[in-house]
Amino acid sequence: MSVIVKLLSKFDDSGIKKAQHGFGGLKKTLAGIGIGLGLKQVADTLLDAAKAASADAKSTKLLNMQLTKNAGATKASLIQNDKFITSLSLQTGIFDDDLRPSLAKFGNVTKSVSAAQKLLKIQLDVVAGTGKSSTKVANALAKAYAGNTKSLIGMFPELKNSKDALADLAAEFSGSAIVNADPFMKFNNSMDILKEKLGNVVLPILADTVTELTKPGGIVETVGKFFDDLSNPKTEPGKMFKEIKTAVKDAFGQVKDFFALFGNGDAMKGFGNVASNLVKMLPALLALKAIMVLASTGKTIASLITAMTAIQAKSVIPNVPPVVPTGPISNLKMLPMIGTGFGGDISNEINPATGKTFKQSAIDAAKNQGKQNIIINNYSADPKAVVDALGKYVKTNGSLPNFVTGQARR
Amino acid sequence: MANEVIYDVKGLIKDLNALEPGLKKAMVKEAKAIAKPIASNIKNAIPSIAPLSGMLPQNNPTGRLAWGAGKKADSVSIRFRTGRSRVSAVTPLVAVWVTSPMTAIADTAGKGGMRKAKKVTSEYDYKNGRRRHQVTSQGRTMIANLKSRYANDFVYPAVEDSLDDAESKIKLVIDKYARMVNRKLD
Repeated sequence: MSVIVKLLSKFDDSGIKKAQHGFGGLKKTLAGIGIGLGLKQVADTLLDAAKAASADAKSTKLLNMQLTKNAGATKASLIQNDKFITSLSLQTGIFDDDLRPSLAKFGNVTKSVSAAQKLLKIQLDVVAGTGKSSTKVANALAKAYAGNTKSLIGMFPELKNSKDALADLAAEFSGSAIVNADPFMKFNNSMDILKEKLGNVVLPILADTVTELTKPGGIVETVGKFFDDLSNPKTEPGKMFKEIKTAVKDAFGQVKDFFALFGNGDAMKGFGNVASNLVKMLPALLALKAIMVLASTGKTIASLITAMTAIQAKSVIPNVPPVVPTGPISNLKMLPMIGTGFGGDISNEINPATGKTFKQSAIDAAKNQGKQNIIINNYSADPKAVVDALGKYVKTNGSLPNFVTGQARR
Repeated sequence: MANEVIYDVKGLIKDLNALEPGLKKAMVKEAKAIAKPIASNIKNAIPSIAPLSGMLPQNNPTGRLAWGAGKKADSVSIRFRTGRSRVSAVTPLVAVWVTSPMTAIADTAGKGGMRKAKKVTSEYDYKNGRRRHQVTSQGRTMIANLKSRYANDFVYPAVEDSLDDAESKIKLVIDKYARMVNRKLD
């Protein structure tokens, strides 16, 4: 603990900017690792608010310094002046950062905060009422306040005979700035002021967050040290990492040896052989899987027959004869099932019993009996989906069609 | 009290170094020289012996908060700091620091609001865990005793009147060196 007696202070917001930058980095990290878009947007908003607050603090500090030095402003009058700027900004839709330089200029001329405020109001009214250049009006007003009305009369010749040019000008354009304020700018300005106020709250939190992240023993240091340890085989994490690497290498070696058995010692050739055989066997394996699933879940016999037919219709295993169903094949043509895919879509394949496609057979059968078709589009070769679709049909219609229920019932 | 705020000191120091090595050192030396009388006034205002018996080193041999423990009780240093702060945009450029902990405690004792203390503190981190402790009346007793002996709040009163003068003089020094840079740039 120390007692600090300040003699002279300095303004330097680079530390705060660094904190903001750090927060920006955090924001990018959040986006990078895919943590919610909402959080990123929040970080964006807070970062903007902190920036606005930092800029506003700088501009206020500058104005306060000038008013203290040139217009003898006290602490209380500075606070009042800040409120005046905010309120004027809200009424006219002009950003507070644009108002402060003019006020500082008037403070320098008038040596009084209240007189400077009055001149600023007149300037805004005149500019809004006439559309003349803001800088020119400000210069003319400043000169007129000091007693030199030449510029002002040059701009407004009607003031030539006026006894109090400033008062007459103020009366002429009174309230123009507020009346002519652009509502959109007013809205923008209000949002800007709110943002600055939010930023005032956020700035210290930002600073704390960055300090917390970067402090000795904080997240950055801890995680950084962990990575350092990983790359050092003398540390515990380093040893473990090395063991993992070795284990992966060993496992890969064993897998390599395994495939080499199928390729006359060449692992890649062996892998190719195994893979191509697996691909060839895939439809049969899928059909087999379907049969097993159906059998184990006790689903419809009809689906089982469909699966068998799929295999029978086209032999998928080279040199293996097609599987022939033992039941009456005529039942199959009655089956109102289209496009079931055990090993592929069979809806367009020829039904050997009718000479038509399965799809056409099913449609004809349904038409002949005045029944509704159950259309199942299942391209994923998943028998469960077929059963589910049938289930849905039963739920909607009460039961399966009569010509099916003879063989198939849920 | 220090009201003046200087802008872009870092830029000035960078330009000074570029202009002539050693100029920055000269500027700091001049600024610190102005603060020397203030530092010595503070030094004189600090009690030479512990204001309360409990602060005596012989009554508090192992504590780090005995009068003059670790650092002499009248340790005062003048610092010229251009470094940034993450918390505040406005920070002291030239300041006089009273660095002895017990001296600082004695000086600031009783300057707070003296609001009614809670009976138990809020939870805080302690040795890999969290804890809270009872609030005793020790602090209040210390403040009352220091006040009764007029042994608190001695730093500021000793220098208050000379602060504004020192501030303007240091500002003049900074301005002088800034003008050197500007002349060279023009």
